[in-house]
Amino acid sequence: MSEAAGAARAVIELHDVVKEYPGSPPVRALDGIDLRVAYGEFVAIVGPSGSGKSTMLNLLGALDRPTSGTVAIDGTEISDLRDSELSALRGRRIGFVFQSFNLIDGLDAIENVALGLVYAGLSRKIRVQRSVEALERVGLAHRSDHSPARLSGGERQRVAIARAIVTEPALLLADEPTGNLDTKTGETIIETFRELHRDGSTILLITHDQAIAGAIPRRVTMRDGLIIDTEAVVV
Amino acid sequence: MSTKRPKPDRAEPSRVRFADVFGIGSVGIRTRKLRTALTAIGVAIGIAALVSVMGISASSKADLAAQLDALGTNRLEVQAGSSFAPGGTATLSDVAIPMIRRIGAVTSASGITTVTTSVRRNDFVDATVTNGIAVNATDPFFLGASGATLASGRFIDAAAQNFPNIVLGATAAQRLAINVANGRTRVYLNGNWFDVIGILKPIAILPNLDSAAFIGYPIAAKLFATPAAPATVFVLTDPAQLDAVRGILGATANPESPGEVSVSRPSDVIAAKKAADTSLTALLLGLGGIALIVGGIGIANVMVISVLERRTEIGVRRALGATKRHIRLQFVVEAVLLSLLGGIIGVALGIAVTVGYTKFQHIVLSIPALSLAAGIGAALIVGALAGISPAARAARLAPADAIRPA
Ligand SMILES: Nc1ncnc2c1ncn2[C@@H]1O[C@H](COP(=O)(O)OP(=O)(O)OP(=O)(O)O)[C@@H](O)[C@H]1O
Ligand SMILES: [Mg+2]
Repeated sequence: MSEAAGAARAVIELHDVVKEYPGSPPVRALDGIDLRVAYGEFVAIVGPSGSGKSTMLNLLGALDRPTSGTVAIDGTEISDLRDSELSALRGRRIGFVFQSFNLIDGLDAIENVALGLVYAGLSRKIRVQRSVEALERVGLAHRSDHSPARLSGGERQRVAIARAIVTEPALLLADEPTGNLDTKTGETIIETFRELHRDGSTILLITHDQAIAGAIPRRVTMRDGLIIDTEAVVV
Repeated sequence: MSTKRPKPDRAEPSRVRFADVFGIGSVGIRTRKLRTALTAIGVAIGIAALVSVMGISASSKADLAAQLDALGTNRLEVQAGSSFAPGGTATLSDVAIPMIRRIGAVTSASGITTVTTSVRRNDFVDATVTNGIAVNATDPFFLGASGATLASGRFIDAAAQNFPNIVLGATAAQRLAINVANGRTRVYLNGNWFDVIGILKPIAILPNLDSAAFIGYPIAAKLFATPAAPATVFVLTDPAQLDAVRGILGATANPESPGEVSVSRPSDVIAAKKAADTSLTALLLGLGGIALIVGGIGIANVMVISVLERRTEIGVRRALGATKRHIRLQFVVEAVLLSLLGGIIGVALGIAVTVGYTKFQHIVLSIPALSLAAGIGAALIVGALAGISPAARAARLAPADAIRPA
């Protein structure tokens, strides 16, 4: 297992993670998970619907806390953190890309990209500079003053990727980023992720698309709240 | 890897620059313009009501003060008061006026005495129809002593007082449908035709004289057997010695029973009357306050809806590093901006209403700076109060829940 490959420092370490949603009956979405992801990896998370993929990604993104077990992200154990520290961790170390893009309508493309930098307390000048760079990396510099409503689905998702990478996070998380896109556009988005990976980003990406998953270096397969297959780290 | 890190490598805290707070809080307002306008109207109406009520009230007060100053606060009115003599009409001493004039500080004095007769437009009108016009005998010093002024014609002078000449108060002239004293109009006083030689302007400090008519003492004595003793004497004094004069007027006007004489300052009476007129102002202020509260509830409502609609946005912001405090701040600022917008519109509206009112009423314009500050301040407070609960709700949303596709 990955424990053995302890040489590389891990960006993610999950140990015996359980997540239970209260209710009657309670839902045990994660049933004791161990996972280790090293810096620079590109991982696909696959598995049937309801298997706990999004639940796990929420924990990896410090959007939620486990019921039990430990979650360490970029060297920080999240159960030690206060809510505001979780916010800081998300803002400074993690980038999120969502299936439905989740751009803010009232802001144009560059303002959407810069949003994370606003919460990092950076000046407007630096925000613009870095957002332009991020938009350039996803090939959308020419759309910077467009409102999201005037962008295509693929363009919106690339703005969302720019927003996720603008803070230069240690970890990029994407929950079905191609789920709302046609196959062709989806491929260009995956290509963008591949380029980011080539440039050194660590990426975890949930997908239902076998072709996409097959082209990603490592796959983690989930079922019923358990990881049933995780390929060894190849560093 | 379950070893506890002695000093975890924690991320630098999230923080928002002060300059960005406004931008973050105004996104929702900028993207929902119609809703913003409709919501702001509620507060605008409340603030407009408060500002205009305060403005109109201040303007009326300023105008009254100006009027009283112009008319003179150095005028006194001496009245016979109640006589205990059975059947006797209360009058002052026959020589009250010359005696009063002898007081050094008195600039001018003039008396009036009620004449028992009625004024009619002509002899076809029944004698019992008095039009509510009281006829008074007076002397040529009346204008100076009382502060009355002519709208048209002339007043009764040394010559005119001996003949059937009459001067009408503003209201009296109106009731008789006489607009101008051109020497061709006559009125009928119980068998005698009188020439209308003058019409007075409304007398602000002695409003009950507006419905009166004035004839000379000599003609009144001749035709209606009116006594020479005045019932009321108007006195104009040196302003510095007003109180001294006031003190000796009773004894001067009626040496036998000075206690029966009542001395008053007409400007005080008017001022007191106007001051007592605050119930309407209070009512309007109350209505404005209610409008403001309703406006605030409107904002709170819209903010609750806004928070529900923008669940995903809240989740995204939380994912991008916003703390609970940042989310709370965003929605409180949004509510305050919404209310402030209403407040600014309301203040402008309130000023417009006050200006319009004073123009229409021909009175002095006075808008207290305090009312403008109070208007904006009230808007800020209403916005903050309206925003607190919805903002707290937004901040409480768990990031993972907020971001989950509905
Ligand atoms: N907030 C929640 N409250 C209650 N149950 C939840 C909650 N979130 C997820 N679940 C349940 O937990 C289980 C795992 O859900 P999760 O969203 O992680 O699955 P998934 O693998 O992402 O599925 P999909 O591929 O459909 O997105 C499901 O049974 C789901 O109904
Ligand atoms: Mg999912």
